[in-house]
Amino acid sequence: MRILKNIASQLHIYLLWLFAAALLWGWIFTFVTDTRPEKKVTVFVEAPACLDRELAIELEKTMPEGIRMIKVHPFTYAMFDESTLLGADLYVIPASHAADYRDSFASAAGLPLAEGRTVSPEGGIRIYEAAAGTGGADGYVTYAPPGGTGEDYYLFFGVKSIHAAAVNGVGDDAALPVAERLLDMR
Amino acid sequence: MKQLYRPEDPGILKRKHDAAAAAVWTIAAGALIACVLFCVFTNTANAEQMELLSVAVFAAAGWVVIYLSTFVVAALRYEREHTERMLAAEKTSLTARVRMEKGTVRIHRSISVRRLSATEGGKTRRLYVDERRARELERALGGEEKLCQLDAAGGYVTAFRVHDENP
Repeated sequence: MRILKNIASQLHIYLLWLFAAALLWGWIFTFVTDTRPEKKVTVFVEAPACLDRELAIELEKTMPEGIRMIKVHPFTYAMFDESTLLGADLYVIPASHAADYRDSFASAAGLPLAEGRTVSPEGGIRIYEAAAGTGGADGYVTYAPPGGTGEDYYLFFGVKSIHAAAVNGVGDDAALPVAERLLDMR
Repeated sequence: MKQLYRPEDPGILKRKHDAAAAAVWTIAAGALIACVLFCVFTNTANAEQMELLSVAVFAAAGWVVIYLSTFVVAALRYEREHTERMLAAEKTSLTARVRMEKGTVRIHRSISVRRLSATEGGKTRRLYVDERRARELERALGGEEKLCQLDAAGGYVTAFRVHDENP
């Protein structure tokens, strides 16, 4: 009873601490458990729905050499900070939005990975074909809205990616096997 | 006369204070180590659970530390400082009809006290007794107003004797 009375007399401090702990430790946790960009491949998906964590777990089952983490984010993740979005390695974008982000992409045309696949004018490799209703990683990404067929989606390499040397000449090629897995994952 | 303050009390209170402070530091360090371990064992599959767990441990440990720091460690320090003041202070004696009031008053950055009204020669004085030492006086008064001999310093009762009014 006395303990409850004591707590009640300082309830505002306990609530303030809870709020601070959630914010502060949430931020520290994210900061500490994250890894350097050189050790991480980041994928952004702009689709009606995406099981980002499950897709990342699946992709991490065959981690490229030198990579410790694969992050998958929906576009809403970049709502307050565009830097992660602009520096990403791979993007899954609907065909109608591809032109909007053209400057952020490095063309994949000419890559062995693109052979036998449809390549968009912006240089993305088709990952989802609306007419067929199937696509890469479609168990994790909902490409078509409920009741609709949607549109084609393309996989792009980021122009600032440090894991796509084959398309922009910087860093390593760790994003390529990840892109291949995304394209072929069923 | 029943003395409420003994010369050995400050030493006892200091030892209790040091033990409580050590417990607070242990809890804080333990929580921090636990949170670091949660970070170390985090992977993509368990990241959400680990984050939730570490926030919960961080918040709960903080609550315990705030509580113990305020109501145990600080209270023991205030108690020791008050005891030292009382032992060093000059006492005055009075004989009055004493009644203990209900409820406890917590003095900011000091001890919690019980209030007494002491009526002597038609004049009523307000006196205080340390809450931790009030139990014996309360038991002796038995919830009634009784004639007592008191020693007081700075408005605090330091010793008492209840007179037997029905010999």
